[in-house]
Amino acid sequence: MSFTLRSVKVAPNSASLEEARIRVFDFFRSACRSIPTIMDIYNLDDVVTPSQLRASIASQIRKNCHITNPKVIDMLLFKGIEELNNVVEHAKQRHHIIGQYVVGSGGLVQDVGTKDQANSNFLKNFYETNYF
Amino acid sequence: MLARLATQRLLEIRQAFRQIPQTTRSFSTALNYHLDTPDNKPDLPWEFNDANKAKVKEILSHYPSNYKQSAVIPLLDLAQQQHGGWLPVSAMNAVAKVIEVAPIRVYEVATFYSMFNRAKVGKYHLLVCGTTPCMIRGSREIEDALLKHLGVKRNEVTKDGMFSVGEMECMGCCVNAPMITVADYSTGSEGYTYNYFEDVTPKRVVEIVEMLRRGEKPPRGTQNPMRINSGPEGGNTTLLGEPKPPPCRDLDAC
Amino acid sequence: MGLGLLASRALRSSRLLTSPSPRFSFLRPIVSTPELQNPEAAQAQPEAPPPADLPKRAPVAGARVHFTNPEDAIEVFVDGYPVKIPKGFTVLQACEVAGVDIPRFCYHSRLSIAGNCRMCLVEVEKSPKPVASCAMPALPGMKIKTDTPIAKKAREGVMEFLLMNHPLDCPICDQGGECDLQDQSMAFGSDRGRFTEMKRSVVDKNLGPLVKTVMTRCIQCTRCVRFATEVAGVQDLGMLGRGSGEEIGTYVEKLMTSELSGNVIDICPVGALTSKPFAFKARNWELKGTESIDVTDAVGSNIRIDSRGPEIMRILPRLNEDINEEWISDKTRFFYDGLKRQRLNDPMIRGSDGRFKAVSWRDALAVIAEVIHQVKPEEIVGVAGKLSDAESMMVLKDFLNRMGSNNVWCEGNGMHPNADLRSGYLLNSGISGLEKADAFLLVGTQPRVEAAMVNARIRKTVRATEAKVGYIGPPTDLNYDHQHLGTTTQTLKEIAENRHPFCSTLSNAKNPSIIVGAGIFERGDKDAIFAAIETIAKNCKAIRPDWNGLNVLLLNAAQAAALDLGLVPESQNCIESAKFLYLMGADDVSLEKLPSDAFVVYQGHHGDRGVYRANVILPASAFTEKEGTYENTEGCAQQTLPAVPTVGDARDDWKIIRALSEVAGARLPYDTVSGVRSRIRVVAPNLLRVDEREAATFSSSLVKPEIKQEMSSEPFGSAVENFYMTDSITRASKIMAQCSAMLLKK
Repeated sequence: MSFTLRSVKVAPNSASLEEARIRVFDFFRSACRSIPTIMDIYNLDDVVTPSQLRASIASQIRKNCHITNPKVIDMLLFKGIEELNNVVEHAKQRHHIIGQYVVGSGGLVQDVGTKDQANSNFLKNFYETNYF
Repeated sequence: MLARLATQRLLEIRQAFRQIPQTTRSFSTALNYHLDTPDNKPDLPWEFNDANKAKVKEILSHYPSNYKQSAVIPLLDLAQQQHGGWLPVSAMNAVAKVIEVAPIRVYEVATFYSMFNRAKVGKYHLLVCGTTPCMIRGSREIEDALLKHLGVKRNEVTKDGMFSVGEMECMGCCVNAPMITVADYSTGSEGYTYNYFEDVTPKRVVEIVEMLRRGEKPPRGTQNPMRINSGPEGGNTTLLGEPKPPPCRDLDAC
Repeated sequence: MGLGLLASRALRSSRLLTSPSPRFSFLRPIVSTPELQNPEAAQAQPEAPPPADLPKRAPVAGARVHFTNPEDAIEVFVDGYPVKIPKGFTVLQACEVAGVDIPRFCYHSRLSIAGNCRMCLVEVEKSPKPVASCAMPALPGMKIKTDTPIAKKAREGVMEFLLMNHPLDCPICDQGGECDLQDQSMAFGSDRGRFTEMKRSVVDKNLGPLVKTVMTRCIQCTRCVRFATEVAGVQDLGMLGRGSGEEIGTYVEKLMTSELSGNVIDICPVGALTSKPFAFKARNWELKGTESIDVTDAVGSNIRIDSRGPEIMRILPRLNEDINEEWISDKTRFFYDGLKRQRLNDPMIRGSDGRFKAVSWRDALAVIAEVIHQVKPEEIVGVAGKLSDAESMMVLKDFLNRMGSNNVWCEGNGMHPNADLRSGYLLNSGISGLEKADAFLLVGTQPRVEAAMVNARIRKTVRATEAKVGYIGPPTDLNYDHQHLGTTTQTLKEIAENRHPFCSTLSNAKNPSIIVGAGIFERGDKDAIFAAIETIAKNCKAIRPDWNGLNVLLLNAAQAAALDLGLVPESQNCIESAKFLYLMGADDVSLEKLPSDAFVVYQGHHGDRGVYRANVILPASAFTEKEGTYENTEGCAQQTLPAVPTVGDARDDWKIIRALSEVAGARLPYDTVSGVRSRIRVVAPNLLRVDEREAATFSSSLVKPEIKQEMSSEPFGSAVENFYMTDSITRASKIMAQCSAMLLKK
């Protein structure tokens, strides 16, 4: 724990939006650089490719692209760095990584195909769950 | 030193508490629930004998036909006399059948009254009154004398099946305390007696027991030769002369 | 009555009473008894009318006062409030009308009055002692005081005596949290006792697999004794011994063989009688209550399903004066463990090796849709099970009709049910209406096992009015005095032709009630039997504008709704020619005559009898997991509510058929429950009027085709062989299996 705390230093606030932007790019780069390590320690080669992981990280960042307040960006950035540190330090387990970055919040999508196209909403819901 | 004394005293107190019987004082001869024994099972046959069947009819005739269940106590008493002083479950079932109620209604009555013995008693069931006046006059000693003489515990039957000792509540003989009652089941319901022996002493009860054992009939009532019934010892001490007329007007004169 | 309710009531009333006058409000806590300090002054005060600013009190639990005769109303004063009550009310009832809840243990409104707990002591003006309000009739002008120091002290003293021999084992007691003694000792008891001796201990009794006894906790209120004697009709329990050695028991060890025995758990105010299957399973405050309907028989008892997470922990009765009062049968109360066993969780297809293989819904429905298009429309048959709700039966019928078949019915209704006249299959006088009857004729029905709550109602009537009961059917014990008239239709014929001695009883009765068992629906000579019964009804004037005494007692929860929705098979021997059989939870259909090449779909929640022959299994939700409408035997529609989530990949019945219809290319036009219900509104609008009894409009004696049938001499059978196991849920239940092993032992 102390190790984690030492490695995550709270940077001074960004002076402007531009500075925050640069910091985000730096963070993205460092994340990309650690992808091979992550693939290695979590043994992800058979489930995901580095480019998919990169896209996943990018999409996580893009999710917040509408934020313009440098303070908020700094805060999110801090959380991101912390998360990256946790991942790199193997503070997580394989299924955390798979669940969060490989499968994504969409869940395991099985029945993706063209056969449901003609079905009504009722039937689509029916195949998924009893509660709709 | 003081500490040792205190501990000793505490131990004494604890000892005294321990001697208080843990069970509730029950006058009944049996538990409030039935346990099957070879001579007391629901499937044993039991019915009133022919002589008692007439008595049953007589008892039932005292009650309206739609209130037959009122006869439960006299019938249980009759059944108890017939069965040598106690009521097996099958006898209670037989009574229930006669008065046409569920057996449990008869069990309720039989467990309520301590005079219905639901466990085996001796041919002579000796009941020592344990209520306050008799206790003050020494009923505990009387009971001890009986138990020691017969070599049994309370509600236990002697080996020869002749005697058992029980305790009961006040029988209204306080003026002649202490007293015992002898329920005599030795001759079935015909010769059934329920006699009081009053003013007894530990010595006298043993004599009474021995007389009963020999088949004699000890005189009932007060055992104090100096008393007549509940009269004072050695003859009357008051109201010796003709009583004076009441100090009121002569009503006939008006 | 929970502690919270009591406490809040106590708080509220005192606050409301004191708040209008500030002087009084700060005086009151200090000088708590001004009357005692100055009795003359208190007496000299003219009996003041209640201040106008006092809020109006509502009766306890919204009780309604019913005046049979307005002249009989008398006025009493409860804590100064005048209340009007009918003559014959007790002081306790008067207090309830006035909105004052009197603590009580032995008093129960549906049982006789015992008056032995003394908890309900109140002060009555000019009475030297506090009076036991439950046993004291209210007299005109009586001034009852429930909140005075004398009443409070009396309660406190009674409570101290009750707690003398009551063990303080609340933390390990199953009643903890819903215990009357616990609640009332908090509300009315003292904070300390003076008892230092040993407590009494009592040997536990064995009352069977349902009721657990911890007799040491018993406070001898005798509610259970009175319940067993008066309501259940089994005189097994009694009060044994006297004084401090008093205990409740059976004396000779005996199991409680009543079908209502579980209710003693509810009426026991302490933890002496608790539920054996529920023992040490949960605490009542952890449970979520869902108000639902029982479907194990046709009575539709109102129940509360108590669940914790996805598991049903217990089932309790709900008050419904017209159906089950506040009792339920043991089957209703204890079958719930069947909902956890032998459940179907995945759609399955029987492979070529005869074994089932789990598949996805998509594949299962595709297979069925393919097969259903390969058979001729008239070879498609659908059977609804006895636990089906109205919505799913409606959808099943719509679906099969769209596929071109009209062979759909509900099991238990027979192959040629009479769905034309509602009066021909309903309990026309209603369950509570049976109390008005003064003579009963039971034909081929044993209400004790077919509908225990109806039997309890008949027993209540027989006890109250000494109504005569005649019974035709195999010899049985109905729990009340009845005349066994015969076992065959011969007796029925004799009564119909006025040659039987029981005829005079029937015709002398003011409200004769004839109850016909639904087991007759399965008989070949059903129409002839009904014709004979109608003759009897006509002879004894059982059908009048003000009284309809010709009743049919149904067996299953689905039957009435199925007949209302017109689930009638087109041909009587469609099973023999079926190529595609859709079993919607139907387990008791005889499939012996089914051709071996027929394709059977079983849709249901339990792997029961229906599964053995099935080719495809579709898992459905049980009644505790869905919202469904059920119509009970008296024609009252009621709804179940989902208490727990469905098991595995199961779906609601109507959704499965709706989805199948779409896969099969005959899409049904509704997507929601309300859509299905608007479809039901077209067919049987009465099913949507929940909790209302829609009486049958036409009496069955009006229009009738000629009956040419002759009654066969076959004796009436018993429709229910084993009371504890009648459907797929109860057959899966372990508790029910124990009951049938121990209690049905002859």
